[in-house]
This record gives sequence, structure tokens and C-alpha cells, in this order.
Amino acid sequence: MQVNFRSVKADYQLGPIRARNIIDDVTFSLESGSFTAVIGRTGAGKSSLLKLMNGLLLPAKGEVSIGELELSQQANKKVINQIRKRVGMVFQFPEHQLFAETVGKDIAFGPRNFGLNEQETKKAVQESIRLVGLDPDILERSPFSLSGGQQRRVAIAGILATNPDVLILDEPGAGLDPEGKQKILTMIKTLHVQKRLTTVLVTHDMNDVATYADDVLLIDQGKLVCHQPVRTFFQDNHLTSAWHIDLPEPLRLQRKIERAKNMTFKQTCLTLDELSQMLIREGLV
Amino acid sequence: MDNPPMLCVDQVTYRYHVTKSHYALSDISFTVNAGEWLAVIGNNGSGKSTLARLIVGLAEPESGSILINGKRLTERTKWQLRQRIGIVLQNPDNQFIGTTVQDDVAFALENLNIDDHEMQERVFRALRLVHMYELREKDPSQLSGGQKQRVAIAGVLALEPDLMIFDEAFVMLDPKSRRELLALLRELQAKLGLTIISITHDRSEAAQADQVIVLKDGVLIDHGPPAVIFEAHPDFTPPFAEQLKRKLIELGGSMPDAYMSEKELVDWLCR
Repeated sequence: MQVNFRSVKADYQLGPIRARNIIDDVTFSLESGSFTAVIGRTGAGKSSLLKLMNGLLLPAKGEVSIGELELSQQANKKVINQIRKRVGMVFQFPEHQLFAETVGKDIAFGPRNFGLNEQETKKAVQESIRLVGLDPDILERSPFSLSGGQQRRVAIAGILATNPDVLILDEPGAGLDPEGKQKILTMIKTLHVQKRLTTVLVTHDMNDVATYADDVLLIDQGKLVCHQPVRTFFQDNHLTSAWHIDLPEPLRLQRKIERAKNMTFKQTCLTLDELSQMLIREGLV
Repeated sequence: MDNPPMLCVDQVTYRYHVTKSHYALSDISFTVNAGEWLAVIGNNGSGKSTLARLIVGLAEPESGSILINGKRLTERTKWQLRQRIGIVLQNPDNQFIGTTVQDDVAFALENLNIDDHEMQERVFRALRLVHMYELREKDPSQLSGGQKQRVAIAGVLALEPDLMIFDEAFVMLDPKSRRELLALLRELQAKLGLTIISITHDRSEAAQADQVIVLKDGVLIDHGPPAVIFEAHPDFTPPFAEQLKRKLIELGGSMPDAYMSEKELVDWLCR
């Protein structure tokens, strides 16, 4: 499902305080089935951008569209509700939102609220627990008896059970050990492919950007800096240094080797496989 | 006579409740010498944070003992010994008290009964060390995640502790701020002879330490310098340079088997 932003401006209202132009005239289009990493400093507007995608924040000017559904300042409740059924949002530390006495009841909460009957809900729960790679036996257990990594999978299963077309994730690997983080992100990538999702991932980790995403969307002070394919983005030395973007580990090491040898390789290596193969091809090993 | 080690953990065992058969820590023993940096690694639920709680006296071992600078940590001695230990947690928001950055850093000192002049000096010195002196009048809640973490570290530095413990204290920082803070701690370790214990998931943070201990299900399964640890546990994701070296060997490259730091690897590739 396509996601479009057309000249979107948004303000934030927190009680009497109004922060203007937290998103400032942003236009972009995410293709159906694309995997986009949203990057930018703390406070750049990443979370606001995500909230605009599912109606938690409405544009002050311009329109956001998800497929054929459109959100603008005048959007009514009905449209917002329809959009939320299409867009699944996984917040930071989603396991903090687990609440039910069993994993099964927790996952069932979303689909039941969206009007599925008992049988459909049961089916959705069974399917989503399998999708996140957990044993169905776990459905009868308390979510609080699970490990941190398992809890996070359960929270993601709760979103998948509503069968969204667009999946939005805010730092889904934060606070997990490296192996747990890799497992979660690999699972997300697999889901993205299997269910042909349009996926939006917020991350600080450029290795995740290089490994999992197709495109990068960089924002700063509420403005869109660039939106381009991952490789094009990291190849651009001027852009990455001007915006203080960390390079993915393989590319960082490649640049270090280039400096030590006082030369540049033609290829830009974004993964361990690419870098190791290139070093052998170039005769360094 | 040799100085006693800064920290000596001797056969420590701990359960969250005596009716539970599960031991959060079983028979843990290790020592940390003054001026040393120890990294504690292990997966979620391995007992890392429990260990930190015991070392600062927030919980008491069921058996075994903890000695700080040669003195045993007990219910009676913990108040005095804690003045030499600082701990920084994962989320600094949970530790903020003051309405300005400098008040917050001063808070811990107010309990130590030192005069105003010295207190101000120590607060300013700590804020300068973490590059937060210019922002001393700000409300901590208005700071970015990385700045808050610096203030939390300043609060602990102002206490001038002998031992600093970081429990996943750098998790929510972007990689650049994390690198800057780690470099700062290295500098302080050298300059002030600080002893540091860092509990971490981040393998490149662990690679900076002098010694590493590995916890698994509450048991200490290994202890040694980073190079030895990463070589002995191929199932741990090692720092990237070592991953690359292993991949190159897998692809048929003839390379040294021993663990290589990033610098060693680059030197070898460019020899």
C-alpha cells in the first residue's frame, strides 16, 4: 500500500504549548512493498512523521494518504479508524504495553477491537504467533513470564493480528542483546517479504539501515533532507559527512583500509559478505 | 604490601526469593583491581543487573561476600562504602531530581556534608569533564538523551568515587554520542585512576575493557581479556573486525587464527 505525503506541515499541541512546524512542508512517496529506514537526530521529527502515518497526529496543512484513504486537517473519525486498520504501529519498547493475563488474550485485543468475530480473532491470533516465530503453547502463558525478546515478539504479534498493509516500527531492536536484536530484525524482514508489507523502520543504527532497508529517508528539524536508495545514500561522502551520518561497519572499515593504503575501491561495501568478497577479489588476502 | 583489589566478589549466590528454586546468581567469584575496566556481558536474563544491585548494596547475597577495597559490604558498612561507588543506570530520567543541571549534580554531594565552596568546585569540575558546563542552568528535562546521560555521569563523577558502574548506560544513545562518552571514560580512567565496571550488550564497548566476564543463566562461565573471550566464544557476535577476519578465513583466505583488533586487521591487510 502506497504512502504519500503532500506538502505536509504539522504542529504539536501539548496543553497550552504549541510547537509550530514540527514537520515542515514534507513531500515524499513510499512505494507499495518498499522497506524504508527513517533516520535523523533526536528531536528531528521522526516520531511525529510516524504519527502522521496513522492519524495520531493530523496535518495542519497538506495531505497524507495511505492507499486510497486520505488524512487532512478535516479528517473525520471514520477515515482515521480505517487508516488505523491498514497501518500497524510498533512503538519503542512495545512490551511495556502488554497487559492481559495471557499472551493469547493480549494478541486478541487488537483484532477484536477492529470488529472481528470470535472465530476470526482466534485464527488471527494463531497465525500471528506463528509469524513471529513463537510456539502456540505460549498463548496460555502470562506475557510477564516471558523473556524480553519473547515479550517484544508478542507485542509485534498483537499488531500483525490486525493484518495491516503498512507496518511502522520505532527502534524495534532497542535494549535487546545483539543476537536477540538480529533475530527480531530478520523476522521483520521476512514478514515484510512474505506479507508484501510496506515497512517503515526508525533506527539510529546504520548497520540496520544497510542490512534491511531499501531506501533511506533523512529528516532534520522537521524537513526532508533526502529520500533515496540505501546504496546511493551511503556512497555520497559529502552527504554523510555533512549530516554526521555514521557509516555501516563494513563501509567504515573499507574507508579505513582505503586511507591506510591511500587508494579507493570502486565498490561501496555495505555488508560483511560484500566486503570480504571484495578484499579477496582485490588480492588483499 | 599489595593494595587489596578494588572489588572482590567471592562465591556469591543470590535468589530473588527464598521459596524460588531459580538462582539469579550462583557461586560468582571474581576480582577487579584498582584502575581496571571490567566489562560484564551476557544475554538478557543472565544476571548482569542483579550483580550490579549486589555490588552497590541494593540487595544482599544469600551466601558469599563482596569486599570493596578490602572491606566487607554489609548492611552496616554499606552506607560508608557506597560513598566510594557511583552507578549510572540505563534510563537517566529515573535518576533526575534537581530543577537545573547543576542542582542535580550537586544533589548527591549535599548528603556528604562538605562546604559550599568545595561543593561548587566539584560540581563545576564534573560538568566541565563531560562538556556540560555551559548548559548548567538548564532544566534537565529539556536536554537530549545523550546530554542527560552526560549529566548523570557528572553526578556520579562529582562524588569522586573509586568505582563507577554503568548498567547498560549507553543503550539509548546514538552511536556517535556513545563513542564520545566511552572515549571520555577511557580518558578519566587513565587520568583519575578510576575503576570501571560496565554492564553491556555492546560488543565493541566490551572490546575496550581490560577484562571481560561472561554470565550465562546466573553462572560466571568465563573471565579474561577481550581477545581471549571473543576467541573462546564464537557464538557471541564479536566486534566487526573479528567477524570480517573469520569470514575471510571461511572464504579460503590464509589469515592468522588468533583474535585481531581492528588496528591489527587493517595493518595486516595493508602489510
